[in-house]
Amino acid sequence: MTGSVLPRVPAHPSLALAFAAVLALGGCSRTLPGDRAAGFDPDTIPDPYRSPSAALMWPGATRAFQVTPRGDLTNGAWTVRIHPRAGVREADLPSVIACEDRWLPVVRWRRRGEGITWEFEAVSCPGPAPRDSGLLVSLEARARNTAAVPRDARLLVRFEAPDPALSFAPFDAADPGPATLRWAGAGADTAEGWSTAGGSGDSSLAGWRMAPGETRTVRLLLSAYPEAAASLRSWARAPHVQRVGEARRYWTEELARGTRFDLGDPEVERALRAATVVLLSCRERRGPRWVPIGGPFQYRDVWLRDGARAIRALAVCGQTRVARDLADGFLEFQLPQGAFVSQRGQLDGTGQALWAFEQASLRPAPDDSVARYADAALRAVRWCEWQRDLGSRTGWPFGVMLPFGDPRDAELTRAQLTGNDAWALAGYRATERLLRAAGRDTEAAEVSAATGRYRADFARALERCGHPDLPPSWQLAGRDWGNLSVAYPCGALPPRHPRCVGLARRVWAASGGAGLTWYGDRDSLHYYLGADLGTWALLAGRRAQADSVLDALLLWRDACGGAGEIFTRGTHDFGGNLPPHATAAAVLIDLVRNALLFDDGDTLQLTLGARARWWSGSRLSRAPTRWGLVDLEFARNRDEATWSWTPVPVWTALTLPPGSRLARDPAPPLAAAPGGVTVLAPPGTSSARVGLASDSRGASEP
Amino acid sequence: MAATAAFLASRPRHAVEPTDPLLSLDVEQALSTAKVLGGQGRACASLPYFRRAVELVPGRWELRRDYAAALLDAVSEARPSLRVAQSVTRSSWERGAMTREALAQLDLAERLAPTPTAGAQVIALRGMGIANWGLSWNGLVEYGRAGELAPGWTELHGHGADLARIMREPQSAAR
Repeated sequence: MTGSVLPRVPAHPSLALAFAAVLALGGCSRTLPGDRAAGFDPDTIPDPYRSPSAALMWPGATRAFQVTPRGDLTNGAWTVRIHPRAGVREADLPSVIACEDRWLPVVRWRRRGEGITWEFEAVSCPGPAPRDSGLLVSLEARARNTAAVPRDARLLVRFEAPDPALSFAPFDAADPGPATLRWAGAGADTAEGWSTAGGSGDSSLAGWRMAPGETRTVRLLLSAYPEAAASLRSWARAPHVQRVGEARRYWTEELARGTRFDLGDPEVERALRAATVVLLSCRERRGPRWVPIGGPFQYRDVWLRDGARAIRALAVCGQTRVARDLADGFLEFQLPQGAFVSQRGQLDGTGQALWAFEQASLRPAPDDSVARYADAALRAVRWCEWQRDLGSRTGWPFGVMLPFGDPRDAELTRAQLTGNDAWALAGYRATERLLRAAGRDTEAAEVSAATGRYRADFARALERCGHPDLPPSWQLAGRDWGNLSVAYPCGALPPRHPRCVGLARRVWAASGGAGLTWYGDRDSLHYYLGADLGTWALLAGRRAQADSVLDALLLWRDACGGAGEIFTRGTHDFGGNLPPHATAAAVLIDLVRNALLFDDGDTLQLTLGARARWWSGSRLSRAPTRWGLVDLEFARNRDEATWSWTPVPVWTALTLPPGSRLARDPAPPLAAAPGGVTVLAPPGTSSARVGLASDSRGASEP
Repeated sequence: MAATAAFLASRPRHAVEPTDPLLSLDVEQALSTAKVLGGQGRACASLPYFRRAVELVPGRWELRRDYAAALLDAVSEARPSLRVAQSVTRSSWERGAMTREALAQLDLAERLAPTPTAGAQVIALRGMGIANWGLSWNGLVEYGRAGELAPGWTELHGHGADLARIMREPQSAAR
């Protein structure tokens, strides 16, 4: 390999003398056609969004790179402009930027122009030092002459200030930007990148005259922070293919620690893996603790409302250690008064934190952290009760409910928010469970009694507020948000309550049916806002609607399997609200897992929403439940459904495959539940077999 | 000091650490610099100077009050000129730690306050700080306590009355 050191090149240089000089120097590796390892074709991966992009992130790193729709990379502090050119024209922009198998973060994209195909492959790696907050990207650019005649090709890679319109910047970015950006080369002690093509100042240029079929590669190392040039050179000794192998191994092993989902449905399995990668990556350290962040770019902050979802999802997909570490980080958000708050005016944080403690610490079994969580949760409940007591003495219309919040987000109003009370009730339930797990039954009973009173007050407030279903606030103002979580996960009302049915009907009618809901205006589809209604539908026996929500979550994933927060319905444009969003990942895991195995009540519910395809034969291994780790297998064989699962000390409810009903009463000890689509198995049961008939009633879901 | 220490400890190792000129400052110099910075809307930058002043004279209640006020201001301070609207502080984790530190400083200041009026100032500041986070009832109770110590402080009673009105009718004065 011969590096070329060239002067700084203009942004849109003509093919003048500099290019000729590069051609003369050669540079970078020459490879024979066809020696590239077989890999996936990024252009075959679906991406529903208007602009392709991908995130290169790493757990614990404090910056990430976005592969932009132009095929550049940016960390918000600077941009790595990549100009592949053949002849006089820069190659076309990438049409898709995809991860391997739409989940594994080996990112590829392709650009074409003037007979040269440019293939890019990038992986992220942790920074050089142990416990580093940095991140390195290993990127390989490969040019292939697909023309029948020789072609001149060149690749200019340049560090630049970020686009002023870019929607994110790292919190520790210099303002207006670093004074110098440069490649590791002779004389540079600190650099942002290293290239086999060498580099001078902020530019690295490689160029070749390529024979038909010939391939050339340039390898780049890009650092999220200025790094010692010697360190970058040292890291470059490991070839790109090795870094790709390390990334594959790392993520495969990380996911193997969790629940294994074998559903015979590769797209759903890949979606689960992609979502888990996002959640594992969206974490930062604070001293010895870990915190969940909302996303790698513009949401690099901590919200209890998003972090709680991430903790729950990680807990139920078997990432127990990670979920507990994040829950531990939540303890730092408790104010001396007892409340948990991450953002001003967002009072739902208290209930969400308590709920997250329960989700993380009670599956698959409580560990010694439960006493700590129980203490914190009890203080929070007593803070809520103190307020309710003060409020009850005022005579104000909704004095007994939590006071007003002004979240400047979500409901986007100043009012007493229904969701705050619903989440508080979820927190009460969680606290009772934590206290019981800690052996503190007297205090658990105290909280149980308080929960009963609060539920009754919640029901009375609904009657008094004058809204036909579930309003965003007791004052009826605001946008739908926390009220969508009243039935699930908050459990403030039973799923079949007419108000819950009315809410789903209203929200879905406005959105065109069960699926994503809109936020703010009808053209703004929100990925995760209505996802709780999917599980609500499962619990309310509206399986087709739940399936429709899952369809939408699966559809609106980018080519890396991640999803953003909001995009336009008409143009599929997410604008500056860049994917992936951690909560989007969390709700997808949550809904799939609940469709297979639901354990939030007093009964283990299996195959509540298992799709017809999954009934060809599915297996879950090491699924954490409130009654221990559970393995589950289920299948449909013509007129028979079978389940086998790890026995639990509570009743198990088995839901039949879609479109079927019981052909006859099941053999004891199994019993048919009312409705004919669920079979009950007593505690300790480990298998079941029932006869099926076609359910001619179809989906009865208004 | 725990909050600031935690904030500094949480910074990525790549962040450039400023040199520390604080050790040469006496209390008046530290306080003067802190107030100048605070007056410029740079509450976060003022914190080390307030902290230095508190360390030098730990028994002065008003230093702890002012340090707490600066911490509460810093929580909501925006970075002035970055192209993306952003907080000066890294994340809510740090903002929470700073708030807890402010509340701890106010507890100490309340104990040190030499007169009922001084105590009322401290309690009112605590009330405002936690009400801003959304803990309205806690804020209202603190305003009430402060009002009992300083019955003639009309502005304080106005704050309390405003908060109570919003709690009763949150939409009445909504933006």
